[in-house]
Amino acid sequence: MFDPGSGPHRLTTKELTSHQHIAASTHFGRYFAYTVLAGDVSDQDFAAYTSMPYAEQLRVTKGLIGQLGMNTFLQKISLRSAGLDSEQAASLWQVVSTISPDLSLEASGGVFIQPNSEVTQASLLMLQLLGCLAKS
Amino acid sequence: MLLLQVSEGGTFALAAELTKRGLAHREPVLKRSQNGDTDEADALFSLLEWEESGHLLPHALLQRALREAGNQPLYITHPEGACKLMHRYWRLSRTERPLADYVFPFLEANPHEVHVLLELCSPNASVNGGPRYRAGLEESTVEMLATSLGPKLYEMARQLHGPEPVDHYPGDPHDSTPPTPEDRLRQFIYLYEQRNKPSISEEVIEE
Repeated sequence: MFDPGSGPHRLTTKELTSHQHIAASTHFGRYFAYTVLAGDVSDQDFAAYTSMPYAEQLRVTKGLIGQLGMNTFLQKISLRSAGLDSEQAASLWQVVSTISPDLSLEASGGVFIQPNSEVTQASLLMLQLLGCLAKS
Repeated sequence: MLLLQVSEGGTFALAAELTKRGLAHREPVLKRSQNGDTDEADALFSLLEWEESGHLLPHALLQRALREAGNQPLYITHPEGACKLMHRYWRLSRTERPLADYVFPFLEANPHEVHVLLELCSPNASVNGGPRYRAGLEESTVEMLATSLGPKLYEMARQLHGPEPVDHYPGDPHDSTPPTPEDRLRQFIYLYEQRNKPSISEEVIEE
């Protein structure tokens, strides 16, 4: 939790999250709670989600997005992308394609895609997923 | 082929963003490979696929857009991406049909759509992070339009505007409000005519 050799200031956001570090915004609150916080999804549950068959995945996706918000949902998949096999990556690619009508182009509406929009976040995630497919 | 999945990535907006990101990712990969530096993290595709992606990605997205547009022009059906599709991806995709052959039959049928085309190709602007809008035309935009479409767009703009001379740039290019369609048309005419005027040094040589 507080390994002095790898203090949080030395780690990237991705590393903090993958180490489930207290300094990770996704995990900070959990160190002060006895359970997974309301509105969050446990790492085990999310890992199970990434392994579900496509049809089942699609069935629970809307609920997960409603619970986590689109940004966190995409971020959680992205942080796990390195460990996905090609079947999981292909399935999640289809999921992101299917939910794409719900992705906002920018925070305040309009026709211009903003650098940190959900569409941009999803496109970067999909490139990561293609990487998983390409390596298999 | 994996690359072609990019153009089918959900909505058109997502596919367009995916194409843009893929092309942006491509440049440093090719540069590193030229220097003999290959990184496992770059192995999204094989080097050959990366080389081909320079025209395959734009080609696939353009084909999707044209398919979705059907009998309508891209600047009507895909306003958010039309400028990039017509003036960048058309060229990158190595499409044999000249862009002018595609665009002008639509414009001749509806000459007022010149206003639409000019607006979509105008630079994006925003003041202090506020809402974005299409600003006034710039020299580089007119250069791009002239290169992609030749003199015919100017001729059509002239027909819409009439023979009155346009001797100054209408409005302020740094104005925080978008120009009216008529002002944008005059901006195009003014900048196009300035572009074709001989420079002072050329005039001296001719004399």
